[in-house]
Amino acid sequence: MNSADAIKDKALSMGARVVGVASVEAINQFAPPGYRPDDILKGANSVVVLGGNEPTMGAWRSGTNRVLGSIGYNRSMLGAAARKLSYYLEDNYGYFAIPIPSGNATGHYPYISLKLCAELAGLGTRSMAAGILLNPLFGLLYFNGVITTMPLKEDGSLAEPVCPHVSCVRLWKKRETTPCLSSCPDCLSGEIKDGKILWMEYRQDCCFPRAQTTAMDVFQKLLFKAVEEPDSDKRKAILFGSHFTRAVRSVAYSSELSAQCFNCLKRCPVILKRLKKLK
Amino acid sequence: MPRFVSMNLYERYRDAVWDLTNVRQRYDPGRKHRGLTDEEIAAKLGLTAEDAAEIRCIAEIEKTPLEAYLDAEGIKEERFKRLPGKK
Repeated sequence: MNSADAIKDKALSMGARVVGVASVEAINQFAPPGYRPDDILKGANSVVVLGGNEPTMGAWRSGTNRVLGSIGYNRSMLGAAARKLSYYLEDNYGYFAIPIPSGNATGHYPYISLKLCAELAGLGTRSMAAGILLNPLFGLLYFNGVITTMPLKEDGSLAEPVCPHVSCVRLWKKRETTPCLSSCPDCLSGEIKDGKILWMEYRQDCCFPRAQTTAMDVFQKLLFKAVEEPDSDKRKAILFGSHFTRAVRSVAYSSELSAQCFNCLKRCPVILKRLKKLK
Repeated sequence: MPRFVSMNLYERYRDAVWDLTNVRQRYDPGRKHRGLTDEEIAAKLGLTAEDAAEIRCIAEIEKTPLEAYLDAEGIKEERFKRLPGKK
């Protein structure tokens, strides 16, 4: 077994559902300066990308969006696996390793695009649904990873796009829509041609209040509204009301901070095919 | 350490900075599309990178109305029940 395969096995045992390797050279062809793996770790050669943390199939079957939004995502699992894998690489192979910071660097900009790393590690391809990466086996996955100076054999992008699914191509021919586009026409637009994505556009500003309904931004907005409100009773209604209370809890417990919508992928056939296997 | 940007500068550059960010993300297979980094925005608009970052951060929060957050739960629940293909 070569080093890359042994490391992938280890990452799977640490909680990842899928693992791939992207070369820093390949990532740097797309990522702008300041957002490259070697901006985070000097001399980086490889990124080991861990995918997982997706909603259980039971969560997808939840009857309400609120429940799916509350339990569909957990930030801690893959972050812990990436940290453990970093120690493992340094202790067993003698190369520098660092888990990819999972928060944002400034504002809504991340340290590095995990989506790009995962795509170039062969863990999925971009979809009509906001460009979310779809994995052929699991559908929606979240990603974390380890940047290392260790040279590893890269997996490279998948040869065939996962999206659009054949049933979406059929639906497009009939109605010029897909399950994701029709679920969220405000955030998403796009076109399929000859069975492939011709283009897709995603409005992050429209998605944000739905995917992060009770996260940091609304905490700041409600706080600002309360500070500006001269009437004490109205201030009380804002600060003790249900939305601010939920936002405070979200921030305090690092829960319900992102991925609170899921509507664009709720009827994605790539996900639904897994659902059908369960009883 | 970031310094507070003046509201005069913010209001003058808010929309220009916003338009250059990755707030609208386009994907054409085989083509490179991306929003600009703060450094790139700054170079384009004649700002410092720090000012461009501060203006972007404030705009990211300010540009989305509070009502969009307060109404989101109802919209999501309604769409959650809708069949695929229905407008």
